[in-house]
Amino acid sequence: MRYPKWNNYCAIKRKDNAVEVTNNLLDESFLLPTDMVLWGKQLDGKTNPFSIDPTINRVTIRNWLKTLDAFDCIRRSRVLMKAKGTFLYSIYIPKKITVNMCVFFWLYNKALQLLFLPMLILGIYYFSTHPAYSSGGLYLGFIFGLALSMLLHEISHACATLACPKGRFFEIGIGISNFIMPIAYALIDEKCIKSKFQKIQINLAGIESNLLLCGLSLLLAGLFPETFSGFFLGIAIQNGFLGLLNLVFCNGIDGANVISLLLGDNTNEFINKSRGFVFSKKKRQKELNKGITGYAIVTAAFVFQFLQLTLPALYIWNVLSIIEVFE
Amino acid sequence: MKKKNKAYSSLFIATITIPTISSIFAVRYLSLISLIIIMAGVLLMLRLPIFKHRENLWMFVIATFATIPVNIILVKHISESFFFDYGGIAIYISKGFVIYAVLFAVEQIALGIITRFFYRKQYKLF
Repeated sequence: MRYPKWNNYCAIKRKDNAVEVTNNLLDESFLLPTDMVLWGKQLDGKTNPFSIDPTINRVTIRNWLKTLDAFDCIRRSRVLMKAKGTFLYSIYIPKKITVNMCVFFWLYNKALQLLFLPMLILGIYYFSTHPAYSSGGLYLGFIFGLALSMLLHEISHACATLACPKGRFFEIGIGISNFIMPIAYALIDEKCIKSKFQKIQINLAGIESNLLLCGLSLLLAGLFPETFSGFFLGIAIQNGFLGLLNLVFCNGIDGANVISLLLGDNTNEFINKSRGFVFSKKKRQKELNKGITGYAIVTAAFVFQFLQLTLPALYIWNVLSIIEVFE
Repeated sequence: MKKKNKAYSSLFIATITIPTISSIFAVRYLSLISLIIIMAGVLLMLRLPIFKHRENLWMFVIATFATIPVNIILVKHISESFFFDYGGIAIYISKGFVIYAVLFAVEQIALGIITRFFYRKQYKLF
């Protein structure tokens, strides 16, 4: 990306004398001058900003670039975020999604929904009856499986979003979190989707794809026991772990979003409110005064907050296991 | 009013204790089919007026307690079958907690989707 580019997660809506820009990433809206925004939308990363409209003077262009940068409407590189311990890099920013592509995404989404469980059961059954007897390539399978599982997970979220008419997909990328953990991300917007089941499917799509790949890898490990079984077993283990661990009810993880949608209305509503019920006596008492439903809500909130200990428990398990290996 | 509150309290205790006790027997015979029957019973119980329009919330709460005995046995079984037995008590507890959380999540999401499928019209929680 040689020149600045308009962030495709910033949507515009014309108002009377200005344009309302909505930053779907930060969930913020602000009003900006029409001529500045319409000029900014032409920034594609390949064209020199000063040559888009030669009639506009350079000082004005520099000021516009500064303003658009301040409002996070443009980006100057593929780096999405650079903070302490976190680094996110975009690897694919879509240009335009056609109707034919949407049909493909719909088919992919349906295939995931219908096939992940049968494939997983088939894979486990076949592998248990034809166990692998070559461990060669296991570690290569772990590394390849980790990269493949992360990317496929995010691609599936994006495809499930695009399978819905009002879903929006902005970009996919990779990065590092907490200094050491490799991550992948997909920027999507499901706010305009009304159907709860569609929103749940968008959040579950990543997990379904991991479990489908786990089942497929186990099947292949059983089919080629002498040569590639170790490699496919490594892929299956990574995908299985990633798929299952993404189901837990920890903040920011797909499982928490799903349960929040099932219990409440919006993805983060139950997560945010449950914290208040557990840590604030006033809010808890106010809810309990509503009667037996209030008691159920507070009980659910306590269970949910207790389960936030899952990720710390996982880290402790991993660290202690590593210490155990070296002892 | 007092009689109504007593009736509701008894009903609440019954809906939690009956599935929990039943799942202890399910544990003894390791029969997941009996657990499915218990949860189907809970689904029918959700037709009671006390649970009306809040079926997902009540399924979450009831299933949390009802599945404790089965999940503990499953965690022990999975821990011994799929993970090497090593390390001290800290590893044992953290490993068990993570496996329990994953099992719990799978059950709750499956039951939640089934409940939402049968009971589509529900009030907003907040």
